[in-house]
Amino acid sequence: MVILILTRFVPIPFGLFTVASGSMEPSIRPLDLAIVFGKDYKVGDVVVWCSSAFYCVLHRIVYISENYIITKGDANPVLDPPISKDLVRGRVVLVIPREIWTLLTSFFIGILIFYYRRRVYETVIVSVASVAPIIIYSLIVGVMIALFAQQYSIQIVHPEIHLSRYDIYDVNGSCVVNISYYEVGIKILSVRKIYIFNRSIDSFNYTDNSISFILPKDLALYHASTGSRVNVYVEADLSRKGFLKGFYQIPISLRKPLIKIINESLYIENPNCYPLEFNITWMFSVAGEPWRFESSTHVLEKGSLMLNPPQAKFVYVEVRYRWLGAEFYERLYVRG
Amino acid sequence: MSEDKREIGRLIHIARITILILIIAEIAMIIMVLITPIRRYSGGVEGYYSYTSYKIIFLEEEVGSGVLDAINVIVTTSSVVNIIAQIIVFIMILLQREFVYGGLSLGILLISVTYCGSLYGSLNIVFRELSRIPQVYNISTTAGIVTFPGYKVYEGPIMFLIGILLFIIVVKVAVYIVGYIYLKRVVEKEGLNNI
Repeated sequence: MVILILTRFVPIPFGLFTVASGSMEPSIRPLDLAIVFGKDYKVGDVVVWCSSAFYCVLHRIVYISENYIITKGDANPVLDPPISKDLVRGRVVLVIPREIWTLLTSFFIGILIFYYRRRVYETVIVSVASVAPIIIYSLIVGVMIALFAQQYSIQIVHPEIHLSRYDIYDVNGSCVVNISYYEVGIKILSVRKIYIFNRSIDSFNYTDNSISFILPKDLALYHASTGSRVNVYVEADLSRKGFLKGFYQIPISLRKPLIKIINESLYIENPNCYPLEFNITWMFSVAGEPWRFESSTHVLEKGSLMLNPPQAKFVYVEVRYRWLGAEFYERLYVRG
Repeated sequence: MSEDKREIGRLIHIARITILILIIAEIAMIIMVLITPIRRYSGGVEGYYSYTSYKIIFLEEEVGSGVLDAINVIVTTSSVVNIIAQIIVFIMILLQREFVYGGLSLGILLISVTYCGSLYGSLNIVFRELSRIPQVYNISTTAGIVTFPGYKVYEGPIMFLIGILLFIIVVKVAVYIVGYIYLKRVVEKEGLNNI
């Protein structure tokens, strides 16, 4: 018994191991006693290797390399993982069948009990008295464990926030920038800063998962004419002690202005929420006279503009405007 | 003979006093183990865990764990059972002149060893469960960079206390066993009764 326990904990090249499973059947069966000695093994030998004091394997060697060996149970369909040679406790030199060693051990224990029966009886009596409180205690704890064992563990979902969408839309002729988020277990508590380029935006609204503010007219005009995206920087306090720093490049909407002549008048319509600047040059002439030019600039916010032409027999109009980074030019026939 | 008896009586008296003191110390130590926080958290995770109660708040959201609840119930119950058992032995030893029902008293005293083992085992479960609390990390998403405050973990002196408790238990049981064996031999030799 001492050797049986000792070989588990001390890496000596001699030991006794009882077989626990049927992985080596039929040659070695469960409860057989294996005697292990020496480390001079080769392919085909049965060895015992232990990865810990409580996990030892008794299998046959199928491959040996410089540092590792691979074993396999005779009854197992697959190989064991490669293990270091250092883990090998030794080669199995003798297997005592379970019928023999259990019988011998029982006989030996029986003799001991018979020989020391009086002492054994006294020891049992004392032991029962000694062990009874521990059994009662263990039962109480065991019942408690049985009642409460199957319980859920800590499951924490780390909060996250993602950009859902952003857009610039029209609200009563003003461009409103809206940034929406998709959040998991978190929400916006307050907005600290909003910058468009380096200009601070002081007036804004926010909900648990969105931020919106009005795009200043001049910035809207700039972005509409240059076609650049609106660079928005946001700093917001989030619930659950979070802090968000977001930078977004939001494109401005793409609805081209409408320019046409209606009843000999120039009609310009800006369908966008942002203003556009139009340079209008009237070309007109009375018969026999040279062309005359009359220019004006109009900043048109959302809506339409109707301009009457000068009094002349022949009238053309040139309309120039910058939109989304390009300069557009249209010459329209008005009259004559 | 009377000198020997006096000497035996004196030794028994010392052993009894020692065991009684150790039982009191053990009970006090058990109470300390129960109420001492095993872990404390501050920062993104706040709160504490002790064998009697816990409150863990992960980023402002209270965390519950059935495993920790179960451990609390089991440890508290087993502690109460152990304390009651030790009080019973205390009374038995206090009221009787000799080690009456020696085996039974020894068994009850040995509960402490089992208790200490279960305490240590449950501590491993507690640590494994508390390790499920994730690290608070900063995330970079399409929304931008989201930062969260980190947290610090403070380990309580629980291992030290369990060590002291174990020491007390070992000394207590050792004193009892030595006293018991010695007395038993004397009884067998001298024929003293009431042991």
